[in-house]
Amino acid sequence: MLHRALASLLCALGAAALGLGIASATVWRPSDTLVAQAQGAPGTSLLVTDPGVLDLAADEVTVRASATSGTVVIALGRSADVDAWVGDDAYTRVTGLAGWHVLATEKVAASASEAGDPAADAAGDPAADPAAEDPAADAAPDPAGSDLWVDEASGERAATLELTRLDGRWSVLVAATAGGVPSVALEWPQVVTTPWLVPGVVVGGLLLLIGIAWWVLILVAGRRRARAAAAPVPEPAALAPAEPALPLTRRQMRELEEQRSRHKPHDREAVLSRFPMLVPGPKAPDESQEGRERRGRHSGGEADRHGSDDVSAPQAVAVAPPPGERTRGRHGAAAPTASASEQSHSRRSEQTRGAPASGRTAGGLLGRLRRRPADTPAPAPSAPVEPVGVAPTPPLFTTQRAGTPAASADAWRRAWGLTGADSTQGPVTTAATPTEEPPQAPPRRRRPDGSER
Amino acid sequence: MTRVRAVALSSAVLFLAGCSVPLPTPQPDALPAAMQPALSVEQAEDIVAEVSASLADADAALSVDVPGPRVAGPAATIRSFQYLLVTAGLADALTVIPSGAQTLVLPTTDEWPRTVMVVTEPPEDLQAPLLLTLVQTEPRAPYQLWSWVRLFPGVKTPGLAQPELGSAPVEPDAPELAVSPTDVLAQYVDVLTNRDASPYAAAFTADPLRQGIAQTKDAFVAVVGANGTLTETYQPDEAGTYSMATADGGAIVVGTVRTVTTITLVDSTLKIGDQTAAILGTDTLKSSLAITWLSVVAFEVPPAGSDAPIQVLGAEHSRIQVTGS
Repeated sequence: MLHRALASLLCALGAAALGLGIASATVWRPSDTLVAQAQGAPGTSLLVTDPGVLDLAADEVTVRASATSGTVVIALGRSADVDAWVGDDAYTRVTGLAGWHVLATEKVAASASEAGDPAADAAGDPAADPAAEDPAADAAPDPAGSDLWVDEASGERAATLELTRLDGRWSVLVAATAGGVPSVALEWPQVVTTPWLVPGVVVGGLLLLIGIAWWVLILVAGRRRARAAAAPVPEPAALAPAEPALPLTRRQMRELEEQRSRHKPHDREAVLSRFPMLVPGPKAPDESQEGRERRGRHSGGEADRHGSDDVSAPQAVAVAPPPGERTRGRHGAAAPTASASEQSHSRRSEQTRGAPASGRTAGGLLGRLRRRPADTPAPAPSAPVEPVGVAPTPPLFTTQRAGTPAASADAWRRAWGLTGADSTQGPVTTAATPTEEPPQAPPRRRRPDGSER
Repeated sequence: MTRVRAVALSSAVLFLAGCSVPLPTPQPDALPAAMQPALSVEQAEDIVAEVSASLADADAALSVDVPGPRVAGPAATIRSFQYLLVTAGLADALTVIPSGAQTLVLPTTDEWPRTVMVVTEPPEDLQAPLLLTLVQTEPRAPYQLWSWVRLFPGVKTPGLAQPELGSAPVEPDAPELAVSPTDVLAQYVDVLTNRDASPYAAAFTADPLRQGIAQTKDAFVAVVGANGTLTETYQPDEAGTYSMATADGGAIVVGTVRTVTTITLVDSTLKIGDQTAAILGTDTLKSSLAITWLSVVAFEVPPAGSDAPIQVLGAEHSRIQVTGS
């Protein structure tokens, strides 16, 4: 229980750290811009920034100006030009930041000397003096269109001007041309860092993973315990025949062989119960009878000799015993792992002994086949290589699926004039080897089920 | 636990984002040691284009009194008279002023008046390029076309500083020139008046304007002969001079000379032609004729200590007033 609590806590902490880390870079992420605002001082329709204010926080700045009425003009010019243009008028000067979002301003009052400046210069031509200049300046000066400005923008009650830093000293002039007091906002992009994103995600992710892994371990352990307590483990042998019709590997066969040899003959019922496909077919006696008659002509003596070893099951499985086993059964001293040449030698001698006449033609063919390695299934001449159910079922046999290869093999044997299917090998052998085996005329005599014992 | 952690995390984030950085303060660039041009090249080109456009509007309107907000000084005076001529039927009287700039002379100053000189692209009629002088009299005034002169054929314009560096404006009484702009104009007037007898005759290279004024006067004298009197006076115009430094320390000086020709006839008539007749509406005068000319002259003045003569780069010589009967 403590483990579960700790694992849960880890998961919760990890998720929280993950979430907080992500949130610090999304929901709580600081703004990408720094915006500072200012309102013009009362009585001033002009607003000027000090040199250096525009690039206070970044090289790029967006100037937004607004006024309660009329056209707002934003103009960028050299600071000296802007100051000269403003001249003696009252204006508001932006000197820097008063806070993170507030611009520091100061009011500059109008100078007394207002009259008599333009008349001094161009004396020779009255047409050149712009007559409309002075009254306009008295009302509310309009900087729009001056040759001094490098950039300018204007709009009805609001205007925006985006600027990039230039070398030198530059100022922005904001003018509310209809009078009134302009307000201005400077907006700088700022580099936003998210210092908690990576640590939060990494640590949170780790904690979460550890917590989850812990939980998985806890659950697995719990299930294992529960299973151990519920029931004893069934015998593995019971699982073996789950796929009875499939060809077994040679090793499986060997294991089953040994298992079978461990059993006494009287265990056969138990074996059969475990291998339900090994049904004693009703036709098996007939077949074995027939085979006995035929075999009797050729190898009756051998059958007698080996009769005591036989399990004598009326097997429908059409399999010959593995060569090693048969060799052992025949010669007794031969090792189960006899080499191919050994086997072929013994088979040859058996052949000459057991089937001298009818095996003549087959002898040549078999001689070739026998040179193959023992575990290489020969391609010819038999059909039973095919899995169960593919080979045609001879009408003689009415056994279950497992009987099909047996029938094929038996038909093959009969076609070659050999003795019937060797049933002595018991239920465990499969169709893996019949292609080599049938011509060898198994020497054992087959007996009807139970008749021998 | 997570709540405590969340609070701690968020407050830390806010702290880092907001409070740990001091408020930035303005750090403007230092004032440059050398005076920068008051205008960028782009600004100057825009101004030239605007002046040209404004002048084109005025040309279309043919408003004699006000040749547009972008024209002032001698240029306005001459342009007004040209409008009169156009109105009188001389359609080609208008001087074409190209809008394209070939060379910009930008002032390095933070005071007013400010002067920009422009050598235009050659006009379409294959005449010589013009030297324009633009003047901004005060901060809230626009740059206005103060004068234009036609550069004389074959004239070599002096070396000028790059517009990005700018050229220093030269005061009318500047001592750094061989002859101050005001004195240049006075000496030139003396040369016009006294011709080769002037002590300053050798100080100026020969130029088409001087020749032209002399030839015109001589022609009038020949026509009038014993049938009347002819007087012609020259004086520096009160419009003054505008000067910009050249690369070698000299200056381009633009000034105006007012020439008044007065003819009084005694028992005779005078046949006149072209512009004068067009303005007066008659080609035969019985008693008198008074013509006022305005000559805008551009000089290249060498720096102080130089023995080089003053070269006349170009001029625009135009009647600005004609009376007669």
